[in-house]
Amino acid sequence: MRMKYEEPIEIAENTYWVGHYDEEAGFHCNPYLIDDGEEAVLIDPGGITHYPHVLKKVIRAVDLDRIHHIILHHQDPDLCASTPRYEELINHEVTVYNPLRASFFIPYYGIKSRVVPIRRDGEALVLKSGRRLEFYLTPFVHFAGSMVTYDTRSKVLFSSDIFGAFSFDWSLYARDDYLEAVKAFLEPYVGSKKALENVARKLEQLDIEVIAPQHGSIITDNIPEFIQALREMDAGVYLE
Amino acid sequence: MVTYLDLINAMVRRETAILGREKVGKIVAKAGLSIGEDGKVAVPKGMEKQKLEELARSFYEECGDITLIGCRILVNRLAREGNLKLPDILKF
Repeated sequence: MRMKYEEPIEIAENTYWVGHYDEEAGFHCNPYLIDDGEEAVLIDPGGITHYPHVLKKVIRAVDLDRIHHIILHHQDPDLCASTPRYEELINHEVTVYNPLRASFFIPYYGIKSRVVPIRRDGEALVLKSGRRLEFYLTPFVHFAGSMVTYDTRSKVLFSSDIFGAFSFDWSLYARDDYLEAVKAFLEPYVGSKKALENVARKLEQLDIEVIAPQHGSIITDNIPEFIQALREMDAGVYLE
Repeated sequence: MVTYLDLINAMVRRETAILGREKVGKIVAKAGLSIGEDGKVAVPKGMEKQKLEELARSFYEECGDITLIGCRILVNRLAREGNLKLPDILKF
């Protein structure tokens, strides 16, 4: 059965995929939204081209004025560029969370919100409900300033580019051969095996039920195997 | 020992994950080859190197740069293991 990609799709309790499915594209972006009652958190809202589609879904899921926090896992345009548009529409200040090393670059998008630079593993955004979103730095996977977010309540890992994939034959949830598609994406975009091993070591410490990457498909099965695969993957400068 | 046929199968497996079975099946058929039930490609003896290049070119022409970006490191690593020369389209 085809999923209703025109609507926000709940991937965990009160956690939504709000991306745009472009049937012609070989590369898909996955913004997410956590609706935590009084506060909502927008995660990697996306680029300009997908903005009208994403906005429509965000509005269907929550009142925009409930968005108080925006998480930007690194500095690339496909996840950051629409942030100023949301700032214009939200009638109060929002706070942006971004890895320290990326935080010097995001003002160039015209982002005016207060930016909280994430400096260390385990720093967290604690929502009014007590829900804790923990940040883990993932340097050089793929950008020097990169991180992931772990929702301690839903056990969803918002993994940014890690476990992203190229996929012409896209589906929201990963199919059997998804790991091969992940390799196709990570091998040419990550600089070294050491950087991947470092990420694997960190992720192995977390109790993850769902991996929600910023590209490609959501992973719910065989999560330890996916993390182990990071240790075995070839990467970037390996052969060049 | 890694052979050109191993390279073809590794590339087809990788492209299937990126492009989907249907698209890859058509491209492989266009090169005069077929994918067996085990997911492996049968190639006439002696034609392996030529078919590797043909397939790489077809993936690129049908679906663009992503296809080559997604498989170059894999194919180059295997080629190095087997001491095999790659066609230019698959080189860095």
